[in-house]
Amino acid sequence: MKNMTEKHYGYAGNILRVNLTNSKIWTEPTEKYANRWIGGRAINTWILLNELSPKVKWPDSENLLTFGVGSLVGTLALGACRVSVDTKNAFNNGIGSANMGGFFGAELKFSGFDNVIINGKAKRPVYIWIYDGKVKIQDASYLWGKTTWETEKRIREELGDERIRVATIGPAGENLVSSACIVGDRACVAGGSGCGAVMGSKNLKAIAVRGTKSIEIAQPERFISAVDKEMCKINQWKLIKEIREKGYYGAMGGRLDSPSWEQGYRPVRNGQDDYWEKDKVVCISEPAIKEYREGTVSCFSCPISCKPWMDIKGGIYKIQGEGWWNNSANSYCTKIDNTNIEAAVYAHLLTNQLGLDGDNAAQVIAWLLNVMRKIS
Amino acid sequence: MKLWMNPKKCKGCLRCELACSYHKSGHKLFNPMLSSTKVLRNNENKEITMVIDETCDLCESEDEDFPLCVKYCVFGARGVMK
Repeated sequence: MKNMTEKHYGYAGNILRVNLTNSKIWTEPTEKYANRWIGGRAINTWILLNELSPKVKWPDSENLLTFGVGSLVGTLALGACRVSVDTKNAFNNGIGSANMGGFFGAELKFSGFDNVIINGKAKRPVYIWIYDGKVKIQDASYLWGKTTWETEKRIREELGDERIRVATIGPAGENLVSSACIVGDRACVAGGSGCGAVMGSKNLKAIAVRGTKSIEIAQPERFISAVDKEMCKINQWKLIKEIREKGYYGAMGGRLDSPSWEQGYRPVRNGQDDYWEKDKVVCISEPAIKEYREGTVSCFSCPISCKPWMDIKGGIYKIQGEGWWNNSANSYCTKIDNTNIEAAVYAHLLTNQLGLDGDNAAQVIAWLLNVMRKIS
Repeated sequence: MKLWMNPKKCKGCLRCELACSYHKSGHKLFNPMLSSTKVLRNNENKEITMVIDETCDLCESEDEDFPLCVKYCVFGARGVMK
């Protein structure tokens, strides 16, 4: 038992600290925090509370941008893949938290770090390259202005590894749009609280990670039997087959008979109405969206696979990529009264590329359309 | 016994890699690098490549009752042929 209290199983063991102003890089043991707090967000928040003066504003160079991954990520624990991003909120300078799924978090742990704490401000655009505990700050001027998808592609080409995971900002974060997001693996977005704008204010374009280290657990047999038990429960869930086939939207929120289309559930026409006509719902709900869906894809270690792969094969909206959600339907369909599903999917994937928050961007468009209707 | 794989059914969750590394490290570690099987999803077109290298022992050591990558694949992308 004594050994167990000394070593923190499940954690990678180190916290990475980067000061972008003077390019100083150092690490500290996670143990210091893991004794008191569990997981990425808790440790992030503790660091923010202790090291950040309330007077610091979000674009200040003293502001900390923290990435945190929990102790279950990187193991067979079901669906453990989330990364918590905590910083000063770009809307009100309070504490802001966002989180994303995908593969970035697990790769960060395999590279030996539980948290990444970034402060300071780089003089020129840079990105951070983490490989097995070694950290480099690289020039990113050739990436500045590029979309999140292009950035991931370019970084993988430059560093020559297809398994590098990239969390990046798009043009929205670079231009300090207050709702800008950090986009990992092209479609796993830490939206909310404007963490993309904070990253942009630090001139930090991206973080690229690749790791080959191991995660050790304290009592493997007990752990695995708990995983097996939970997996049984998930496999018995009556909706699971449908979700794996159609994604979350197709199997639940976007079904034609879903209660979410009833009065009062979705914002319609900039929130001026609370009911969308049934003939319009037919255009964007499950049977219609099926034409543009090519199965689903999964995040790291997730047995649900709720993310549909959208593929528009031709026309002016030709595009393919991950994700179409319940709130994408709110944003690009009901809020702006749009029944063209191809345009809506395109807009959704475009916001991922630009690093914009879809809900927020669509709300602005909805407001503009509302104003136009009122003055015309 | 032989393993089969179907990339069309795979969703790219990498649980097979984790399960394999758990077996190969003697029920101790999780690390996709130790895994005998490798799965990679192309983010541009969702195409999945699945490979198994010669280090695969079909989980015959460590007293597994079944190859672990097959056991932990919930999407039916892997199986065993007798």
